[in-house]
Amino acid sequence: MLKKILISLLVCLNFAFAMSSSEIDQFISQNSRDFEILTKEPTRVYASNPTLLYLLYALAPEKISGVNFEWNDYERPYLKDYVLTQPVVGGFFGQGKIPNVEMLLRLDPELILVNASSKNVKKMTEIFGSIKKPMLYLSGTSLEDYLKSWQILGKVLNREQRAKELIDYAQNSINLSGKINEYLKTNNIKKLRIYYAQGSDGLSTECEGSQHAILIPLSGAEVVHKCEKESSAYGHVKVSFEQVLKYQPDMILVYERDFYDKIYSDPKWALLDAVKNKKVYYIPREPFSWFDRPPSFMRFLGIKWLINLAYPEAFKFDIESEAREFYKLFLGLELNDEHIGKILGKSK
Amino acid sequence: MSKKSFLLLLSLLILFIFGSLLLGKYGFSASEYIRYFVAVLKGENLEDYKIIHTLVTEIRLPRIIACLLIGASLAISGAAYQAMFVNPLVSPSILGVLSGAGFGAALGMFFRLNEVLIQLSTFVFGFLAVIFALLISALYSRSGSVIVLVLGGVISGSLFTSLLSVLKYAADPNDTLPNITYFLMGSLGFASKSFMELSILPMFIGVLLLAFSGKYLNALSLGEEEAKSLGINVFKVKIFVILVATFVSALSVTIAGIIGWIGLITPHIARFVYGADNRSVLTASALIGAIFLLFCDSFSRLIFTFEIPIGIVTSLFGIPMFILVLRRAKKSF
Repeated sequence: MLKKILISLLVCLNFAFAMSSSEIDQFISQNSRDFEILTKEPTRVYASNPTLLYLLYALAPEKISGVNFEWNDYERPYLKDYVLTQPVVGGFFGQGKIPNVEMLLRLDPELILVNASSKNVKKMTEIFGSIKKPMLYLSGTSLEDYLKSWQILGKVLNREQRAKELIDYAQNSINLSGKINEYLKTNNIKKLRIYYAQGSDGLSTECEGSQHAILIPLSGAEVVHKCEKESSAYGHVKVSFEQVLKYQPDMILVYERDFYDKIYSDPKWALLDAVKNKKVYYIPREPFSWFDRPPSFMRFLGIKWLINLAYPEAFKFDIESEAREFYKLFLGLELNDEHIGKILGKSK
Repeated sequence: MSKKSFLLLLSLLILFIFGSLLLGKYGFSASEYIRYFVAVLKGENLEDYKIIHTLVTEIRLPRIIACLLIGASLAISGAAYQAMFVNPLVSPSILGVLSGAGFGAALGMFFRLNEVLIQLSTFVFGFLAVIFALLISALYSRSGSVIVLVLGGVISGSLFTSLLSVLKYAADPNDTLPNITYFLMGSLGFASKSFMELSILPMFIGVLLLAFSGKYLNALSLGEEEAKSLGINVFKVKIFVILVATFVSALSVTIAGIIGWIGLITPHIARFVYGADNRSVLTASALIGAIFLLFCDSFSRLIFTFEIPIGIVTSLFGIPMFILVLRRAKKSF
């Protein structure tokens, strides 16, 4: 009974953020360009950066037209054939991989999704402006952005029901973040200190407050590396091993498989309590990382995964069945045990 | 170079070695150090000193040895090249070895090879780049004239730099690209114990060989005709210097990525202090290079919570020093 009440309460909460139809229209009118050309439901949509592409993939993969870069080998087995055969057009996401306009014209997308922060980037408006296609500015930085973007996109693409399903799940995950922090407070539990190891030597990390490590505070834990000033958006701050040793983190999250494979056998890393206590975890990344790099909707599962690792007693998740449910809902995949083992890094 | 000034440099080096052995982010008190070193000297069981022991043997010592070898290698190759090309603007990268090695490393990372294969590919491509430069110059000048050699190096260097850009462009921006970028900026943090054990001896021999070639380089710096009239086989000396210098510089890249500036400035400092005789310039360059890199590395380790890539530190300190010694260098080269 109590569970039911809680669930219905949560459902109410879900729509606390929800925008009304007129609010959505207003958002679109303020955050779009040449939108009036769009007279019917668009069937070909080009997302101009990976975050938006993933967002679109979860909502309406059949509408994707052109991708930003070649899919990686570890992504391919999980993606829909239709998306795998889409041509690589490029996009706006740093490293100068700007889109090929003629390629884009050939694809003839009916809608272009653009990152809200590049709204006033001159090069971008020039490139997309020249081909006169409806453009929609969406944001995918914070987890809340996803909810909003899905709702707007759901309406534009006529996938409102699908958007609602995704948003429900996502909102649930976000709520968990509040609940775990509440739980820590009421039970007076000390925050777990986490070191995020990136790079082939494990010595690239993120500062506290970095967008790339956002799941750590959201799951009630703390980033060990504090920086004098806020780190750049790009992250990947280099630290020395002695610095890490000084931090003595409670837990280590590892981005790269190669490093994860050798951390337990390296005599210097063995000095860390986290390594001694076997508190080193490989971040699942198939098809997209559960944590970050690339930032994607997979983080809604990542929250549960991380809370479960940091405070296993708090919600008692069975991460395997959670993963099954998530992959089915977001990616339309039925995972078998072998897949799960591979994704969770239990087997190679 | 007089015995006295040699000893002075050597003792300065030893001072720096001890300094960086004791300094680090993870602090120990002086008494702890003393107890540890006493225990080491007495051959006691080191179980009680596990952290300090691992820190010293696994992190600081390999790094210091790497610094010494890399600093010495790059500086002495720079000095040898400068003497050979009779040009003060030459650095070890003149024949494209650094670009080639950088490309080799990036290639290994791109295909996600294991560590040993990456290092092998780094080394092999460093050499290939130089061979390519030599081939180009051989096409146009049989005697290996200096200017054609330099042009060959320019072509080879640019070729591998552009190939490297292609790789960077195609690399996965989430993991491979940052790895490549950090590698290219250079860091002693890459120095792993296992690989160091492998390259210590060859690098040391390479540096020694170069150190003893001062007499021949003196003759070369008089100009090719004069060297020939002194009975020196110019071609053989050149090939010898190129091979050994390439060998040690390529090895230095496999250990710590690309570290610029040392090879260019240290010979100038050496000449500033010890005059233009290559017999002293070579040895002094090696020692000063080692000291300079140790200093820069300690700086990059200690100053911030994060580590600055060593390539940045060497140029930050190197450039003002270069400007200072430039005036004198112009006169006495």
